[in-house]
Amino acid sequence: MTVELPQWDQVQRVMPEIWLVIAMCAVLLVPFVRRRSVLAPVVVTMVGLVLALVYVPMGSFGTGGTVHVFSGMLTIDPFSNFFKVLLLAFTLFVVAQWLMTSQREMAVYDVPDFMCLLLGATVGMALMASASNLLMIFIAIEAASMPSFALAGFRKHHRRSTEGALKYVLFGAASSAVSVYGMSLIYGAVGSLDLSQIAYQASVGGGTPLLAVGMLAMFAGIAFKLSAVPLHFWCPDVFEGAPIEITTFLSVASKGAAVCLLLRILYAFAFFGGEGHYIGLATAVAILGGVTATWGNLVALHQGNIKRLLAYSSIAHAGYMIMAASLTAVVAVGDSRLGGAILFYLVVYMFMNLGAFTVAGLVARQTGSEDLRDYSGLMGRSPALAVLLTLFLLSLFGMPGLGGFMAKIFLGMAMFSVAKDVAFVLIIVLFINTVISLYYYMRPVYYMAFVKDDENRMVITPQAAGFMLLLICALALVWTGLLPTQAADLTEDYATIIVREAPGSALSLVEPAVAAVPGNGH
Amino acid sequence: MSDLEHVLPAIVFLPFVVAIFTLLVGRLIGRQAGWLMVLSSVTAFAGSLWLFIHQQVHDRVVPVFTFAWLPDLNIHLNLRADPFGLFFAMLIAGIGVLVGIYSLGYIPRLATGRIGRYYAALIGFMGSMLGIALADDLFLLFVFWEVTSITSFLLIGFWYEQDKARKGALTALQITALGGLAMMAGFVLVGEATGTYQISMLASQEVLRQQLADSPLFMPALLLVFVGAFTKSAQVPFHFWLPNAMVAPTPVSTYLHAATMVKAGVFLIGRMLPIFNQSACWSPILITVGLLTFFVGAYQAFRENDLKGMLARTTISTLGLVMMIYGLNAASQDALQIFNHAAYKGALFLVVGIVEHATHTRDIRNLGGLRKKMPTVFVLCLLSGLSMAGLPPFFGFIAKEALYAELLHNVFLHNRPFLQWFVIGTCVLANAFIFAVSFRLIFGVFLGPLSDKAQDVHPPCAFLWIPPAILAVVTVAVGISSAWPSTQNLMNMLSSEVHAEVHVSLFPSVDHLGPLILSCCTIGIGILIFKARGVVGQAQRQFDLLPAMQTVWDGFLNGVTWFAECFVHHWQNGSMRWYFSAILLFFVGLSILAISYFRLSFDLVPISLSQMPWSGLSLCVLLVITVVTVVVAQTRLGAAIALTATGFLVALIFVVYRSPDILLTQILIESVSTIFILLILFYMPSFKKDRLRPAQKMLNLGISCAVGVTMFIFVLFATSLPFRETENLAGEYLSRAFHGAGGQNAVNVIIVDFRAVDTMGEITVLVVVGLCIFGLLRTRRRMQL
Repeated sequence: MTVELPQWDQVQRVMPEIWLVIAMCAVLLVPFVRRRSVLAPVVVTMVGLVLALVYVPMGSFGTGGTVHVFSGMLTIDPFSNFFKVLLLAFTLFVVAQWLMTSQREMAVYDVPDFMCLLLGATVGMALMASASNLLMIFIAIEAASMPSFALAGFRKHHRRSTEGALKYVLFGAASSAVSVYGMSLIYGAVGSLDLSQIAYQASVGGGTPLLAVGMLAMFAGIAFKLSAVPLHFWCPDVFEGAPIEITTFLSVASKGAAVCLLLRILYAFAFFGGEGHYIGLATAVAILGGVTATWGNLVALHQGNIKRLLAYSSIAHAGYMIMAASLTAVVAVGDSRLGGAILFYLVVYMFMNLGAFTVAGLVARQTGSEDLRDYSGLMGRSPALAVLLTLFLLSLFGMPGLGGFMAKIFLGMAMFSVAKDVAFVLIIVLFINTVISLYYYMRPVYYMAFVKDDENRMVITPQAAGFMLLLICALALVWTGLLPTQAADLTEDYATIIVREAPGSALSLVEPAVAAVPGNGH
Repeated sequence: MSDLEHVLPAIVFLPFVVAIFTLLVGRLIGRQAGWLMVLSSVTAFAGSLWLFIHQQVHDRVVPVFTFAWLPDLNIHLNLRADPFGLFFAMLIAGIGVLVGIYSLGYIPRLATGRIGRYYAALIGFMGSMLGIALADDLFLLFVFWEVTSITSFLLIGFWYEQDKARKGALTALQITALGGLAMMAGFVLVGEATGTYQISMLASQEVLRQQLADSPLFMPALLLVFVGAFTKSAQVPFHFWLPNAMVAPTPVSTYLHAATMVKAGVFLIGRMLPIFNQSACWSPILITVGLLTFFVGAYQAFRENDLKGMLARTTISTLGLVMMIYGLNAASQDALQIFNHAAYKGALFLVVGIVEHATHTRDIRNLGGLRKKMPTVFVLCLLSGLSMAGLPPFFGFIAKEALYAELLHNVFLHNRPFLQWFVIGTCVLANAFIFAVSFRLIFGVFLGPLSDKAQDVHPPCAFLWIPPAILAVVTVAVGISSAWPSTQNLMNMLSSEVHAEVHVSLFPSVDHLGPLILSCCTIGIGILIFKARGVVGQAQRQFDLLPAMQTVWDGFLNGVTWFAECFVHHWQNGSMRWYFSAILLFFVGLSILAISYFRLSFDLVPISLSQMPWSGLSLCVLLVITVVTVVVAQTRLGAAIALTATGFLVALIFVVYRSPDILLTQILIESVSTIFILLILFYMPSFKKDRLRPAQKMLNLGISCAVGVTMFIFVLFATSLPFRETENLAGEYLSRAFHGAGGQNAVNVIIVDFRAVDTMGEITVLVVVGLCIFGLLRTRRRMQL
């Protein structure tokens, strides 16, 4: 059995989350000190995020990278740390994006609430990446969802926003109910809420119907966060209605956290089941991913609103990631290639979406429209913005030379290296979907470059800061597209998921990383 | 090897740097950006030429540049300068110089930013073409391939105000980019089968080729690569994008659609020849597609009235010819045919551009008699047109002779005499059509009476006539110089085959009279077709060779759009009711799947209805009644009351089954939510019953029932299946309550001891909820005031 660390030591491991919570409280108190300041809450938020970011490496300091804290509720391993760094950096970008796009729409007294909710959702997502106990998983999902509901409806006098938020809440509630019910079934079948214990029992006792259905029902919660079919219906409405930076945030952070969670659960099963054992589970999840990707792409073909178009595109990308993640259930223990490919995809996806949504936000801020027709002739009006948006869209499509292409290639290759036969079908699905997606990713480009602007729409000039943000995204995409090796190696190094030893399992002896950790009490 | 290999990346990547520079400074320098194009192409040409000469002087050592790009995937940035690649690179850079000069005179004074973008795209295109020519890695080749698709999209859509330009550009992009993706899929299969992406290695190592040929991935890979090559080279049935792409400015058409880009597909086949040609499908597919394209292109070209359309279709035709040559494994004359076509077709396109520039029309019916107005251009057109017609002593003649010689002596055809004569016959006929087209061009535009449109034309400026003049001189010079063996040696050197032995000579020897006879036939039939052009045109209008592939493609795209539209309309329609139905049905399906998968039967259920306590049973009946009341209630208040009743009845069930802590929670939550509901009722608009169609109502009822029944069965199985341990939980709790916590009342102990944190959490939640209610009440008061 793992001997627990001293309490204080355990608390230190979750300092990033604690800093975020402190920032949440602090940002709510800001108005008492500086009443009508926009900057003060933003500064507090950013300080909180930066502190959390700095403390992420602290979480695994002196433990060889991995530690299980609070009776195995949370696992702090390289994988979760990588995601947390990504998440926190991304949230910082989102705050910057907010400053540039919809900050002016918002009443000053709403800013602290907004920031508090954003930080709250970030805490939930950070926990999702580490959670290794069903209870923690549920709490993390809820902690990420609740603030997201409120954020989605933050444009209070906007019908679409309210409608989206309401749909979001209802779907969230429904999927949470199913998910919790599934967890109760799992507990009934296994007698434990600990992920590794469940996986161990399943590998020993075989898949009982109770466990199987419990697992599938529990995936409803994750599928909701991933907006996987059939729990994706909320996604376009929420994405269209929400303020643009919330759309950005949800499209990347929320889905990313859910992918991490999915990976952790499936990897736990692969760890105890052995390579190739859970091919049925992998196939089921893969089918879900394939359907999700195809659905997203098909519906995206017929959209005239850029936010909706990007929302469906994000469903499609979530589908690709689910397809790849599904094979984690059959991966060999210690094989981090697939995890690395998914993390790489996530990194690239973050930059693509951040860039595309930022351009959409900058355009909407000045024209007040998200309609594709209002992008007519943008290439002539604001060539820089149009070229950058083209770049982001081409990367989302998977144009060679840009990060999106490399991400897809890595994903396909990693899938192929894990399970050839399943992966072959999945790669064909990925390929066909990529072909379909070309059509709708070119639509905004078509409007920008080829449709004449008849109504003399205004010239859009982003602020220098907005331009910087876009340039960072573009450079990241070009860099990952042309010279992806360093980034790919980095993600592969950090893709090590550590499964906690299951009490009583003989397999716990072979677990490499935990055994080598002196601080873990062996 | 010396530092020679470092020239390679400079040749390929310098244009990209220049392209970005052009984009940045385009606004400042305007039309002068054309000089950047000239400069970069001259540099690339000089570099390639130097490499070529160096190679010939120094024992034919092939410079290779290697950079570990994606070492994990075994993908490297390999550039290799073999003679064929260098030939292609020199062609690209050489025509690039001419097109750059020509553009200086051709592109009008437009908004300056636009010109910068034009040149940037053109230079970027050149860089990616050079990349295709010199890449020695399948992946790298694909990357450059797709960049040419994108840049050509931008270039074709240069006149984006025109509807036709937008459509043409989009079609070209769709076809070539999709073909490129298919090609990449083929490459990945090759890589998976052999473990390498290096083209030269695949071509030279027998082991790898055998490994590939034995792999089940061989055929799919071959077909996918074919799709890529056929789309790029506009082969039947993908040929339709090329005539539509003629909306591009003429320099672009010259560069992309005559001299270089469309040849990339042919070039790819040349590169793949040693890798794939063991396949039984190689020759049949390439000969069929090539021959069909060769003939159809020539046939349709004669019917065309648009000058550029005519040239585009003859280009398609020649590309088919080269495909066929590869199909016949006669790669030794590929450089000859490609060079020949690039020279005369480039010149003709540029000439047509001059004519269009001067007369503002491209319709051959509106033109005529330009001989007097622009004699220089007439001479150029005559020289290159006669080369296209295949008359001696032009380059076109010796290329045609080489083709006929090959057809007469080919190994593949030699064993199939019927096929051989069919192929020869079709080729003669196709060449006769091309002959007629070139005569129609010369006569229609430059001879005959002066047309109205041509009344006030001016002779072209030097920028416009010098580039076609250079090309015309090349056709003449190569043709005449082929009297000496040096031309033959050069063509053999440049070919993709290492030991090429094509026989090229202006004067056929006595024992090689076959080709000459065929040439005479060609010219004879060609003259006949040209003389009878009225009758032939009439016949062609009656008899269309192929269905209009454009229509088929548009239909396909419209079908997809229509499908997506229906999909959105029916499946993603924004209705919450439908969304929830979909989710619920999904989970019903999932549960049924699970139940059937594990073959659960009711025998497993130990509980029978008679064992149920009467209190539980009566509670259930009451629950059903209240639930139905919620659904059918006419007022909001009624529904709310029924809902509350449901909640409290559920709480009572916990009484029957003795779980007091849950009971307590349930009652608390139920009370609070009742207060909430009642408060919110004030804000709600009056209750509007949905006016649903009966069918819809029945569907809803059905879905609800299905969900309910599934849930019921599910819970039944879940509770009756063996749990992990069947220990007495209640006894355990009771003994622990007494011995561990010292309490007589087990419920109290559970709530305050065992679940102390739980209870505290619940209290906190309740307090928060209470505060919310308080807030709501205050808002209401404020609203009323």
